[in-house]
Amino acid sequence: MELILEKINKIYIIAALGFKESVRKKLIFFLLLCCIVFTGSGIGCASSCMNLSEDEIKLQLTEQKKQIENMEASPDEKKMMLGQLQSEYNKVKEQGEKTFINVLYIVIFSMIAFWLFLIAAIFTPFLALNDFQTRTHVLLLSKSISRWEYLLGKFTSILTLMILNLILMTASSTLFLYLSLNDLGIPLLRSLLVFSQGLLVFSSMIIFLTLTAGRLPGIFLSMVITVLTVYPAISIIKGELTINEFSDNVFAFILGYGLPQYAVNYFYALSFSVKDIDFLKNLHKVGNNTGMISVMINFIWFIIFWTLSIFIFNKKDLET
Amino acid sequence: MQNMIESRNLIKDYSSKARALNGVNISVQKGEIFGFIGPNGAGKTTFMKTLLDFTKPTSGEVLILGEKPSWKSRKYMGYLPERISIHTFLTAEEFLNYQARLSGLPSGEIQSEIAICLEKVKLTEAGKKRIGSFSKGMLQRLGFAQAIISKPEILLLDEPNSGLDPIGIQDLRGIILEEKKRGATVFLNSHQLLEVEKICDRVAILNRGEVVAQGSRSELTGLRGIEIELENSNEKIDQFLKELDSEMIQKDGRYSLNTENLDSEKERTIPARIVELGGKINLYSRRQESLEEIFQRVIKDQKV
Repeated sequence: MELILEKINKIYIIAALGFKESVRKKLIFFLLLCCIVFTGSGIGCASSCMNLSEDEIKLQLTEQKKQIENMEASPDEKKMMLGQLQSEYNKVKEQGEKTFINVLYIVIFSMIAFWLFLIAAIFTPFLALNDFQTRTHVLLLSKSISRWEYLLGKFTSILTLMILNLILMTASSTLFLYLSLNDLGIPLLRSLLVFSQGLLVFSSMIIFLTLTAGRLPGIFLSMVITVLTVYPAISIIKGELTINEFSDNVFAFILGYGLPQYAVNYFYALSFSVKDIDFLKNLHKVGNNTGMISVMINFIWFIIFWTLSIFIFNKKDLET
Repeated sequence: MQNMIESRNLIKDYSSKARALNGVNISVQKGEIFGFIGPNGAGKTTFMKTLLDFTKPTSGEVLILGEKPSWKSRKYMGYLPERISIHTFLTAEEFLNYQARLSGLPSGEIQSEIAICLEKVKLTEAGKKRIGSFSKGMLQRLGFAQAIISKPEILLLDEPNSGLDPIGIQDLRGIILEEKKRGATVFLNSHQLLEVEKICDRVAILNRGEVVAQGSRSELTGLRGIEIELENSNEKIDQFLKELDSEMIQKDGRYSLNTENLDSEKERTIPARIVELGGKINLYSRRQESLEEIFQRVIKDQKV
């Protein structure tokens, strides 16, 4: 027990050092500022799109009203027709409001996912392995700390930074939704946990790829793998593919289950938020996302990447 | 005497053509200051890296307190690298705090140890300053402070004087000797032979990955000699001295002889014999090789 506590303490020390580095180097403030800008731009984009379509409907309504008034009909008939038009408009407006909220969820969540994907892909290799460029790892690793503790400590600081970013982005979106629509944005909060899993696996994959292939190839490969998982996911959302049976579509099965699941976790997390849009009704069917299976597969990926990363890191010659 | 560091037939290949260490055998005993010297590229840093478990030997073994190097053995070690790189965003105190915690120093002792170490390396006033503003000499001192903060049993010092001014070098020498007094074993890797000569109990000379000489200063100074200055000389004296050392150097009545192969009994009779042969001695002194001379001779011999 004492040994476990000692190891946890060492991982914590390295993580705290990494976190202090991002605070002292103002990196954390840069990330937080960027995340507010990204979330704000997403909200702004969705709002302006919806306002445009609402203005169009209003214009159509005014034109149709004019047409009814110019028709050769009795005043009672005109009144009835105008009443029908108004009730149809009200229905469309109500549906429009629902769609607006859904689109807002999609846009906001996509912005959050995209931004996290970017910072994870770009900052993870730099923050995790920056010590090796500046040779600051030498004195840290000359103390009684094993290499895996050091690597996990570094990773913990990066993951903390990104999850903090995710929480802040979700909180600022929730605040916006509450202030403008009186909606608490609960679905966004519910999807946090699923999405954090995706982030965990994705960052582990980047660490592994960076240790194996170097920084830039690592970033490139992790992006390619993520994009590959998007392809079958979109086909599944459209209803063109099912991956219930392995024999149905081996390619989609491998991509849906057999690759690290940043994109898949994103779609699954999004499925919590979006329920009423027909063409997105298959979101929850994407990939390995059925409850416990999702958690297990993500966990297995995490273990695979960490075992390989530690194996490679232990084999490496360290420069002094 | 307990062996703190021991290497047996240690070989390290970086590739099939690049052998950095070629059967290194050394043992460093408890409480001694051991100098590890050699020209650039001799393999000194590679040897340090194997001690720290930063690289694995190709064959042979190296032992720290009887155990293979690992993160556990680093618990007993303090290390000062040749090129110091420290996170510049930290203050000196913060940095030492992290290093002390990683060394496993009890939290109750950390603050007092930081203060003691900063005082030892004369950085007390700079304790709260960011490391980014430190000069090279200050960085070196701070590096030394982190190496001794956990009172390690073994101190590995790689070129500890680099970047230090003469006063700094003197201070550092004092601290190393203090550490020896405390009971620490010091493994010193240095190019500054004069400094090594001053403080090391034993020395190993490494060349092209091989230990070409090893021992205490007196053991290594196998090449003994005498310097004789005569007021008057003659052929008989010249003949006598030449018989003792055929490569004797003679210049302006001054004779320099290598007496390495001469037994000490015979060596003692030389002044009397010179007087007997009619010579008048102005100066008669024993000469011992300096470490620099030993180093140059050994490296030269190996080249030949």
